[in-house]
Amino acid sequence: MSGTPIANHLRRLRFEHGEMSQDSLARAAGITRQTIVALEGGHYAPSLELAMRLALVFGRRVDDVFYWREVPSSPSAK
Amino acid sequence: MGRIGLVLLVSLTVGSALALLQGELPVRPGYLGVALMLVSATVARSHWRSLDAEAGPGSPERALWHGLATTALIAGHLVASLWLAGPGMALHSVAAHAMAVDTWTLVLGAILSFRIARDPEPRSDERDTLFAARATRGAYATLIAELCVAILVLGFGAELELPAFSQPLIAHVLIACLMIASIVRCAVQLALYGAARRALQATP
Repeated sequence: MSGTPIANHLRRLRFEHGEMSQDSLARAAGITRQTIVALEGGHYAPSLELAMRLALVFGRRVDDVFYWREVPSSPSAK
Repeated sequence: MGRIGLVLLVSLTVGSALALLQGELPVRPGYLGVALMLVSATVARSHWRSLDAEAGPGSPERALWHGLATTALIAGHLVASLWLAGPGMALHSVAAHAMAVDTWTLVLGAILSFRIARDPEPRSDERDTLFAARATRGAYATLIAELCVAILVLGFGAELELPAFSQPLIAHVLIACLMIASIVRCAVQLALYGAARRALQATP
């Protein structure tokens, strides 16, 4: 599993939400702790549904939680 | 990959040994196999409990380790029993009945030991589904390769001067092919979890 082009603020958001543990976040989002570890390590890009569920746990929008490491050039810009 | 190969090798060896040493064992090979499965599952559960939450395997990984070990043990027993029975294996013979009793006893052992080894609070998600899909592709490729070999052997058996295979033997060989594909699925998926874990450990 190589790194993905999408990074996230999950670790920071967990600490801002009462130092929530990885397992607590995993349970709140209905996923496994291993997936939270992979997401925080930047080795897994979630589906849109999972991204929205994780954002919902923190009461944020998806793009407050996930972001491009490098914004890819838009096809329409060519 | 080392641990996967080791578990596979040990399980296949134990399964084969149960079939090859059946006349020399004090108890039925099936009972001995079940005892080994139950003890191994208990040891694995204790080991996983002793690991902290960060290092422990997830629910699907536990099930895969169990599936790899038990399927390889039963496959080893089946293949060695078929080897002993020979190409003309008859369905209603002493050897075939003994093999059937032991194999189904081992299947029962696999089910019982899974109840010991499984995660008491099973959880899985889309990442597990992704890995499972990749592993299933590997198992599918294995099954196709096995069927290609079977087609060639059965089709050209007479030209290759192979002995005539009985229908029960062919049926059991096809069962063994399914078991090998299942073993490949478990091994590939475990390898994917291992690769993902190593990639995370390498991340600064």
